[in-house]
Amino acid sequence: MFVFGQGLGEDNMPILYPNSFPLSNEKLGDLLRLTEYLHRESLVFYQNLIGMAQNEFII
Amino acid sequence: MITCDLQQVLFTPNLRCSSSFYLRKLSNYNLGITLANTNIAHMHIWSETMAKRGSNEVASCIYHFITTNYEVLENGQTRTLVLWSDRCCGQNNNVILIEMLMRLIRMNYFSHVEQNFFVTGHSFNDCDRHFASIEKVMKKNTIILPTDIEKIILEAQIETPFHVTWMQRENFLDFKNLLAFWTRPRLLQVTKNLWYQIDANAPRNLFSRESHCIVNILHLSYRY
Repeated sequence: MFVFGQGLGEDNMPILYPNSFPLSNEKLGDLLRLTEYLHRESLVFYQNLIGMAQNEFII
Repeated sequence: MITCDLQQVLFTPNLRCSSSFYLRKLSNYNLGITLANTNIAHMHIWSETMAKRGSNEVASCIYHFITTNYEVLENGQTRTLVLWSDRCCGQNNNVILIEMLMRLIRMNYFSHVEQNFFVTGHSFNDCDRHFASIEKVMKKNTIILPTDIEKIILEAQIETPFHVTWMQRENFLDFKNLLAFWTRPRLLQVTKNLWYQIDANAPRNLFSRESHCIVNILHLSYRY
């Protein structure tokens, strides 16, 4: 049997990734190249994804 | 009793032209939770734009599943959770998952929790069977968007269709933070044991066993 200790502090759980965007620049570049093969609807999804990364997180 | 497992990475867009072969694609993850007594499966999907696929993410999916599907116990009520998973130390067999289970006990979702691990090499479970049926449908289709994965999962089993949950950024919680408050016992080696038990009567106590074999324990106590 193991007993967990109770320390000082607040027993809370913050959000894991509040501000970070986990995709790397290299992967975003590859995704941008992949959009050349896609049709319009799918293209919009990936363009939005890359745009969001550029506007909100990387720059 | 629930079984949980993480499916292999699902890449989108899944194109078949050779020039796109070496380009990195968007990774999507799927954590399956199966209710063993009913054969109902819940699939939790997210892409790598939301989170990675570590212990915190696995713990967050199970926590989200429990808190959305079960209600808090009232006085005198009891409920037991038995969780089965493989022994992948980066995802299931770690102190973060134990901290999450202890929190569920403190929040009064369960009165008793058992965490069991499959013996290494014998970890084929209900979730793997469900993943196989999903991958069978995937081979027949081209997946372009992450939302296509949801459509395929919904099609994969006709009799009891899978429930699909899209995990959002706010659903992923940092359970590592609990370690600062509920400090880990110094001698605890999490990956060494196959069985853990937590009870609401002593929520800080963690019982462990290195084997599923009860005969060994009886034998030892007899010798003692």
